[in-house]
Amino acid sequence: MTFASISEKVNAGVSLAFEDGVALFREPDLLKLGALANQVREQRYRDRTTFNRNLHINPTNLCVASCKLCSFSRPSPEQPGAYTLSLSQAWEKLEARLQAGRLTEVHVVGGLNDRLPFDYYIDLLAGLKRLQPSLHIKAFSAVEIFHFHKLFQLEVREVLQRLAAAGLDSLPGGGAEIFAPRVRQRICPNKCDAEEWLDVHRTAHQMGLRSNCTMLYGTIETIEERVEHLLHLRALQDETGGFQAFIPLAFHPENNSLSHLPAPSAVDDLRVCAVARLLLHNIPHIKAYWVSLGIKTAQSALWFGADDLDGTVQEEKIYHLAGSDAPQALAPNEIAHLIRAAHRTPVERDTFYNVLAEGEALLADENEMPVGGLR
Amino acid sequence: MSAGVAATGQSPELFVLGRTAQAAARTATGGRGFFSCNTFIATSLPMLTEATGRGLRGLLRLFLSADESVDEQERRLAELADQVRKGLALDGVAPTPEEDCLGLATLRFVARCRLALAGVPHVLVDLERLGPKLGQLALGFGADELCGPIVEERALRLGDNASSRAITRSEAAQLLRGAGLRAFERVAGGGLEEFAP
Repeated sequence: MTFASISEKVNAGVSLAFEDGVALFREPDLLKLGALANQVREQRYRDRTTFNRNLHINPTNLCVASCKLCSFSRPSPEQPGAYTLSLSQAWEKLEARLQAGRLTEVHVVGGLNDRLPFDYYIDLLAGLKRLQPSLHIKAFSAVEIFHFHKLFQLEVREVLQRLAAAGLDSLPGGGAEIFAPRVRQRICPNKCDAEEWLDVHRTAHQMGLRSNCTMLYGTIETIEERVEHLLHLRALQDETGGFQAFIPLAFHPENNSLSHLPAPSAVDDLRVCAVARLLLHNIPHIKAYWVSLGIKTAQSALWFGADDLDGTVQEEKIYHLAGSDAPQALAPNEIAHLIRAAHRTPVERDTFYNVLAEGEALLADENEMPVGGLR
Repeated sequence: MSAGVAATGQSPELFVLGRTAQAAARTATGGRGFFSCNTFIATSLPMLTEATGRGLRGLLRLFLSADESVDEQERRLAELADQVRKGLALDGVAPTPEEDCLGLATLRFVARCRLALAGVPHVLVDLERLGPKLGQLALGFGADELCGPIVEERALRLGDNASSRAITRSEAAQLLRGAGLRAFERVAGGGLEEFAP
């Protein structure tokens, strides 16, 4: 399998095969790979790069899963750092953020807490929605939905229906890690398996909910296992069309049971981004999640297939506890600056990638105080 | 202004710039990459002259600020190239971004240094200033040598050492190999030793 033959397939709009994906991961010339991914990215979006105004709320870090890759979770309330937000504490976080400026999305994910009733989650979403009915609530990874299904003895569809009735608008893509059972057994044995993760998204898509998808790379997986993972996502997308974006998640080794492993290198970060753009032709967006990649690598990723920088984020805990040195938040004007400095055009979007502001409208909106995240 | 720099200019054609600089570096070093644990880098030409006068390697830090235009950068590099042609002893330059510089601007500057300074054998990455991630990417944009806090054995990241960016010699070699280079360590007396995988 030569790079030239893969390029021909890409140019002809032909789906890449498993062997093509492996060959791309093994391609020694990163810039050649990047240029091909960038070509696909520019054919779709030219130089436009999107971001949104979002807030992360992590309601609890109590978790029964004990994943080796995680620095965020605590197994019991007695553990140092363990917490569960009261409903009013969670709502206050949103209230405070709304007072500071415009917001279009709240992203809610947390641990697999077996001490909270289902009503906690229902009330949490309903209260957030009450504060701003137009706010998009993207909440609970497939792993959490599956946990609710097991814990509360409800069908996955019913879990989703009840949450949607309370205000859930879409699902984030976390918890996929790597689908290969060999890896899953070693790094997150107590999480739902690949088929269960995919089935939650399948059900959500069938109900009309959109979602994102992810891959955690840089632990113990092989290149072949990465490609298999991506092809599973592509197959579900062929079936349902419900994924909006793929988000490559770099493993961060601090404060967890895999801290003997090195963090993935920037070359690996950009390679995953580029290969994903080329393999996942049917998933519209590739997101360079700056909290995971770090600001400088995320900016570089905008030339390696990524067309979105996620959002303002604020108060992300999961990656920061694993050693991320990215700032806690970026102001919209800082993100726009980051995008322009990459010779790209910033576009503010909503969760469904509808354009909210660009050009002069975006510039006019850039008088907010920077939070100093780029320093 | 060198032909290579003129050809790429301020074009967003990042890949053309990067690959041209990478090819120039591979030609200059024969596909080798270097790292050194203790490196003195002068921050001005008088300091460089004094350092080389004392028998140290001629290494010069080239600062980059976000508000410097590409034309200004190229003019500065062309002047330095001219001085090298006139006999300035310069074995390497270390592109050094100021705090306000972002990743891609740094990578472009690294590439411009390689292309404009054909008479300078090495373009160094200061890991203290670029960090390991951007540092490794710079190896694909014309840099060929890692310097900065490279240690025998990493101390626990506690107390004053909590924010240390030090990496081990083995990790430095890994970064070089991950960028497709054979890893060589600079040892005492100016020698080079291939770092055993």
